[in-house]
Amino acid sequence: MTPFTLYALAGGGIFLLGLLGTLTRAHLFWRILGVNFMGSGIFLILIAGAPRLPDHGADPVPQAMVLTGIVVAVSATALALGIALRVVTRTGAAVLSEDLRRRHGWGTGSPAAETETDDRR
Amino acid sequence: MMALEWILDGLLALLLVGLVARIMFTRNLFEAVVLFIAFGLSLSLAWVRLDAPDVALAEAALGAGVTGALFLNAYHRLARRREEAGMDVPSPTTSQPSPESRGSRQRPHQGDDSAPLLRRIGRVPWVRWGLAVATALLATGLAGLLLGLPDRAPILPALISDHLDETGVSNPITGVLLSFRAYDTLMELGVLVVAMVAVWSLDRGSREFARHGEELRRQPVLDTLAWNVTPMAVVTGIYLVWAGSYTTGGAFQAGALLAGVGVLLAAAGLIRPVTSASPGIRILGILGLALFTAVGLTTMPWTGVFLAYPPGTEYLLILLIEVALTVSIAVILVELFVDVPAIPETDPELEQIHPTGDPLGRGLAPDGALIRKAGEDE
Repeated sequence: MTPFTLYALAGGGIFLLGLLGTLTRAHLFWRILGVNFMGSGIFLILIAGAPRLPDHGADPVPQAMVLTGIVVAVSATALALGIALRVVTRTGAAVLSEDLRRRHGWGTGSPAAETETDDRR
Repeated sequence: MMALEWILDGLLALLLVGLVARIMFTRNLFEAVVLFIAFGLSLSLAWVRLDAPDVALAEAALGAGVTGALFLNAYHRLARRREEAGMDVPSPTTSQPSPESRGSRQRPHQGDDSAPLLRRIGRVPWVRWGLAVATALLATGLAGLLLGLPDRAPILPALISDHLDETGVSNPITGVLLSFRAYDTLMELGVLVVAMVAVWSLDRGSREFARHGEELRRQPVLDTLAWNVTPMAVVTGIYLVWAGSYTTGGAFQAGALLAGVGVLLAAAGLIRPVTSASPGIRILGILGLALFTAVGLTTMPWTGVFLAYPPGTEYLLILLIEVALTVSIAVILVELFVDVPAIPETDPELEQIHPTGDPLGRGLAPDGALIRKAGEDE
């Protein structure tokens, strides 16, 4: 075990926190942030866990993969943010319509749908 | 000495995890975005520590810089949308109105819509407990896997250093990107071009800078920063392309840096951004992909294989491709920034809709608590 193992463990933690946030938060911006963190966590595991030669630094193949990954992550984030802003333009809310419908019974045809799905105390 | 290394590495690793936890579970979107940039910069420190300076360069310019700018830009548009809808906007400097005054500004039908959307999940305890337990189990399993990784003999690094001479470059990462795994890099350029087209297609024609006759808004601080930083950054970018063949640097790092310059110039109002609709931008955007493919195809009669360079020409061809890639990556990343859709200032249809999902995220707390005040923390 080397100090680099710490970064691999941190990468695992970052991935899981990103996953948890993506699952539990309805706001689209936090979901996009969460997906970004999942990527960053995987990058950390890839490079911190890469085999090393003395005086050669980390394995160049995972480094090249991570470089590619960072650029793809940026373009995916830009597209996701663009779509999220379109959602705001169309609905006034930065959440998916499924989450709105769950709260209000929208699109189900009757306002009663809300009381059926909403387990009030 | 060893103990000091462990302590510093441990602190940096803890900082990274702590920042992510804070960002994912804060209720203040502005805080999340700013901390995201801090996370990107801390992560690039970690890359330096992990002997990956190329990745560190790309992370600082892209992960922190361009992605941060994208998020700030989108946040700004959300915040302005709320201002125009007559809703209060949380900001670090202004005091918040009381719940009563806020309620009076809400539209009558809104009722208790400030309740969190995730209230339902919050009311079903087993969902949250199940998620927490599943994540904890995953974390334990992942940690066990990572700690139990066998010490493999490094096969790939040895193979690469044995065959690096055949690529014509002496930076192993450039060798991997443009020679050993050139297919990957070609496909990635394709992804970038598709992203540019897709972002542009989201909102053709309604971007604010498309309005003619409007003065550019000059920002004094950004203005000075841009005048001082731009020349240095451009020189550094050119150096990074040139140096990429033998040391840290390359098309991705240089393209990211130049994209940062473009974003800064656009944000400072020094240049009027051009949308992807302009033919020049389109040509520059696909230049890298087109030249890469053309080189791969035209050398096929000599090599018989797609994307294999004829012996003796590797260095020149790789340098040519790197220059084209740098230009395309920089142009595409700037377009991803300036082509983000604008939210219309007034939209009568929107006024008919429940403004439930607070665009700034209040009332959307993960634990389902009702949040009254903007920017208020736990």
